[in-house]
Amino acid sequence: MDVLRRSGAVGDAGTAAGDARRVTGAATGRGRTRRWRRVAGRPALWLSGLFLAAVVAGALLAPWVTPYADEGAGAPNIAHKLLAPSWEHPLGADEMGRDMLARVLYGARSSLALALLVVSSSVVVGVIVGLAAGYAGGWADEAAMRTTDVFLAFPNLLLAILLVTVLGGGFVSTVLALALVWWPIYALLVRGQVVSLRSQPFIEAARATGVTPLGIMRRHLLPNALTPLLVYATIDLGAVILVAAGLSFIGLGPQPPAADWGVMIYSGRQYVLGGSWWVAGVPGLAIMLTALAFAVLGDTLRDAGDPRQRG
Amino acid sequence: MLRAGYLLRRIAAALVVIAGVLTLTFVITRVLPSDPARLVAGQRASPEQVALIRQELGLDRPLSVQFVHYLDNLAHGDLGTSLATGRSVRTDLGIFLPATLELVLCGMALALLIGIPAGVLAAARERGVFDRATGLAAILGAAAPVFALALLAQQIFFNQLHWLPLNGRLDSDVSFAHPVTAITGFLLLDTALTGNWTAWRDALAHILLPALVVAIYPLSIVLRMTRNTTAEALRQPHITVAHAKGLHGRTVVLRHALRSAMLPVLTIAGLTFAYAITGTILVELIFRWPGIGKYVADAIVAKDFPPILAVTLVSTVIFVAVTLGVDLLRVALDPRTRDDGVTR
Amino acid sequence: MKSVRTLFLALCLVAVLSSCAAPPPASVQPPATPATQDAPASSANIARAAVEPSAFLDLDPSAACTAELWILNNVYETLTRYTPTGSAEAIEPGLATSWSASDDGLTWTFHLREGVTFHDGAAFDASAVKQSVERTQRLGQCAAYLFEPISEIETPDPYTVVFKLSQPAPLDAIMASPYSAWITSPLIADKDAAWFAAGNEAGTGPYRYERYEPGQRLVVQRYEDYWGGWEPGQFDTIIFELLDDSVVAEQMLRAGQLDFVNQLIITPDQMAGLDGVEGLRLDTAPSVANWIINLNHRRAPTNDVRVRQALAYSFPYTAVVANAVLGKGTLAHGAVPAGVWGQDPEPQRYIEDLDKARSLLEEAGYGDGMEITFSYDPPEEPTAELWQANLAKIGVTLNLEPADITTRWEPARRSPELAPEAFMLRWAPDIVDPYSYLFNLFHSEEEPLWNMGFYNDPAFDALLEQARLETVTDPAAATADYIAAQRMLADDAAAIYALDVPELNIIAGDIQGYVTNPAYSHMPYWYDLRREQ
Repeated sequence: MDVLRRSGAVGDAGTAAGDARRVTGAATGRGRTRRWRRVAGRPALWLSGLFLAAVVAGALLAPWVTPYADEGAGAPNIAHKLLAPSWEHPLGADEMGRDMLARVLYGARSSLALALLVVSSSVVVGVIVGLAAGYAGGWADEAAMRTTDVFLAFPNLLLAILLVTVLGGGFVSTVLALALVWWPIYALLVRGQVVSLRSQPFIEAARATGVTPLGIMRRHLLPNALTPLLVYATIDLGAVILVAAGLSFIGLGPQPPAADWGVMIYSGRQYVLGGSWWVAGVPGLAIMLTALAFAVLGDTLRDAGDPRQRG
Repeated sequence: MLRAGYLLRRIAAALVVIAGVLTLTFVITRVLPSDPARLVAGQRASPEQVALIRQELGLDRPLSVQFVHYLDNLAHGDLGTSLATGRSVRTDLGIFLPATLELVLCGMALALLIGIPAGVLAAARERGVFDRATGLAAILGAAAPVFALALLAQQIFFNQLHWLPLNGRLDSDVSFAHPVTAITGFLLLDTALTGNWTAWRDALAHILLPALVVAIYPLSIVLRMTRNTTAEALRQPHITVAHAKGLHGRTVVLRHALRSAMLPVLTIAGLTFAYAITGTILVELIFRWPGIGKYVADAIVAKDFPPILAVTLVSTVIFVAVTLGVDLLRVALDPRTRDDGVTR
Repeated sequence: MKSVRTLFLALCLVAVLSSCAAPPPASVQPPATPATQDAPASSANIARAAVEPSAFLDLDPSAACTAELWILNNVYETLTRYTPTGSAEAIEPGLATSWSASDDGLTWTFHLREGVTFHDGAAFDASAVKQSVERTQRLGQCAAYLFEPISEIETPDPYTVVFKLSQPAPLDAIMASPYSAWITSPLIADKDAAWFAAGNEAGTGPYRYERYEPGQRLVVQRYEDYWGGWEPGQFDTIIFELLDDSVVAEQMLRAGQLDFVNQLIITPDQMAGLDGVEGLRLDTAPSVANWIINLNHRRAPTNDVRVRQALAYSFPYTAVVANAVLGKGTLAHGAVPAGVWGQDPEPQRYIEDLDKARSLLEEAGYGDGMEITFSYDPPEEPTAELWQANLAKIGVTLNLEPADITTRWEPARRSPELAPEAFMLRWAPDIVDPYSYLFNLFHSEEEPLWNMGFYNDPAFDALLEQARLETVTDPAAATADYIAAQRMLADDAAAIYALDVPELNIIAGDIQGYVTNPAYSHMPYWYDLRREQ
């Protein structure tokens, strides 16, 4: 649901109009509890939440929950090459004889860490730029918005490819590249919130009583932007995992023996036709389910925060 | 009058974005890397070749001079030379771009052809079975990695069902027995123009699967967008009035609701176009589709930088042009559009 | 109202488009039908082979040095040809019908076949041969070094060529090389790589280019005026599909869309799964190819002999033999593989011994670990990971740099000081002679070509030179010298000899007549093949 939001964002920048924003709807924050109660019973939410909790726990505790920790970290065990799923190896073994469950869990570590780093640094940069631009207004706002326009004009995978090529491969440069691609969305989002609130009476009042600009931002502007930020950040965790997997798939991912979902699909797909579907299928499913779970979670958060939704 | 003003401002905004894109790519390629000449010349280049490139790029001169030089080259269509193909990148783009555009346009066509009717149907029975099913499918479609979908599609339609060809644009037997005369570079068009229907059918069979995969993401978005806007429009007073006047349910949906729903859908379609272009990189790689996506993927493997930069620039310019076009189309289609382009 | 009309127009368009966008499946050529069974009769004379890599074909026959040769072998010809293993004569006539050498090996006379024409219409004669060889010498690419001993070419009559050599050399074998020995038309003497890349050629072979679609395929069609003539059942058309993706190749094989794929395109693991598939068979034959990992002598830490020895002791030889080529490979004795004369009869002294490797590293001052880079072709990933895991146990980090040979080779040879410490080559010899391995991979070079370890030992060079000169005049002495040279390399741990590999191909079950010829590894000569009717 990435584009829906982006379209709204671009709309703010004066290109396509705010129709999309009307549909996606940003939250305001009243009646929150009631709306939470409304969405809390959804099975999709529970399934997603449970799945993500399992993935996160499995990733964090990977060295302890699997008996094949060294294989997860990369040690080959060629005697077990391409073993089919069994009690010992519930998800089978890969082309180097490594336990797939252990590999997927170790892959989750890097995928989740990458997504978390990219999204959090994008949020931080976006919030700073968005708050400053929205509050200052004038040419600073204009400049900031045109800058985000420029970044958003690039297809995200291509800009990431360009940056990774220039910065060189590796975890850190991938994080940097993706964060550079991602931050403008958050800047636009926060800035939009700030502009809509800037002339509200309670802000005027705060300003009149001598609250500093920083104080106004912290106490009044930021909290109001929090719900939509959370919604988008949640969905983006999945989106970043997808794009990172794409980068890995075309050869810009980490090198073996590190476990990486995109690389695992790429190297595993040559065994699929011969019958060993699990080598590529398991990481493929892991990516898809994780991205899906984040999307469902984000959607639910949005619905919970959207006063127009009818229950 | 108002519209003319909007038009000019909108075009100016697009030009500002293009200027920014050029500046940003300049910074990425000339300021960020430790040795821009090595990046352009490629790792395969000898020190002499690198020195030559360094001189050509004027890397010893001030950045401002370099920037002017950079813009000048681009203005002349000089995108550098591909190390892998040995041709100028501009020539390569001429060869590969039509294939990508054909794929993306077909993908977008599929997305709209399936997405809009399905979205309307879903809205007509809000929270019905079809609505829920398409809602789930859309969220799945938006979350699935495109390369996994591509591999899955091949597995189903080629390996299992044997319905569609595996990859490429044309079967080698067909292109051998019924050679295609290149006119536009769009195979479906070229074969139709020359009446080469055997090749046309074959080209169609080849494009269906990759186009479908390219379409999945835009389709998911368009479907939900159509459904949401139509559903919202159905709740509007004038629809209720129409109902009261006794108009048949289907007519109401089509004539009134869809009408107000179309504009945002159009916007979304334009925006997803850019994402379709991104998606084609992976799709073309898997379907061996000789477009700019495969060109970039090959360039990455070969550490061949000029094509990567050129494809990024070209795709970005296409994206900016498409969003501009969509905006202008909105204004043209909707008389209620205000001067600032916002629909009342 | 206007927008409503637009809308209906759009919907009409939708209806029209959707009706034509859904062709009945019957109109689609069913891709899964193996061309072998119920395909139309006309396609029985078409064969399809896979060629890698897609983007970098250098189709200049004087320069081509990798997979392009699988195509060129059918389009160009050489003066002589190697015969398959087990034939009475090692070398048979090609464009030359007979030849003789002077006793000192310095003068070679070739008598040429008459009535041969190039595809571009030029006549094949002595002056064409002279111009072709001189062109190869002038370009100086790929295996042009083989022609260096030729100092003068005389053409006493239109069908006789006399080569004057500065040093003795086995010119009959050299002229059979699939590397750089192709005879080209005199009309193309000044053509450059771009001309060839545009899909042009001018050979004498049985097939001529029909169409070249860069990145997709190259189609060759029978040359009607071929001197060997044509008989029923031979292939009219060969389609070389340019494939750099092993999975695509496997899918096409399973769908009956390819007749011939070798182990450089799909991995042996994939081949194992394809062996039982209907309509396909796995063809295994001994070859003279081997995997050699050159160690960089021009940079630390591999410029230290103890480090190189440690690396040689760290390599998982037996695991690689068991895993890499379906267990059909054999342990290497050295740089010269089994099946080539002059091979060291003793097994190599390096075996997997991590304790010894560790103590050698400590001795060299790398007890606390070190980091080196390994460059190899992507299909050899499992081998790389096995070695990487062994090295990890002795504190060595092995950075993996898989890439297509054409991609990784140029930068490495251009800057030895920055080149990877370990560089693997899957070597197939230009001539079946120990010299091909020892000279190409270890002889000192001013401008490195294939000596990717940048090995430089004047004593070794001298011994090699001596052996080469003895080849024609005193074969026994040459053999002894070559064996001594291989042991010098072992003393220096100049390289790691990973594996002698057999040739593996997946061939359509109805293709008849393929005989592995180690000298033309992976290069089927389609003129000789037939499809069983």
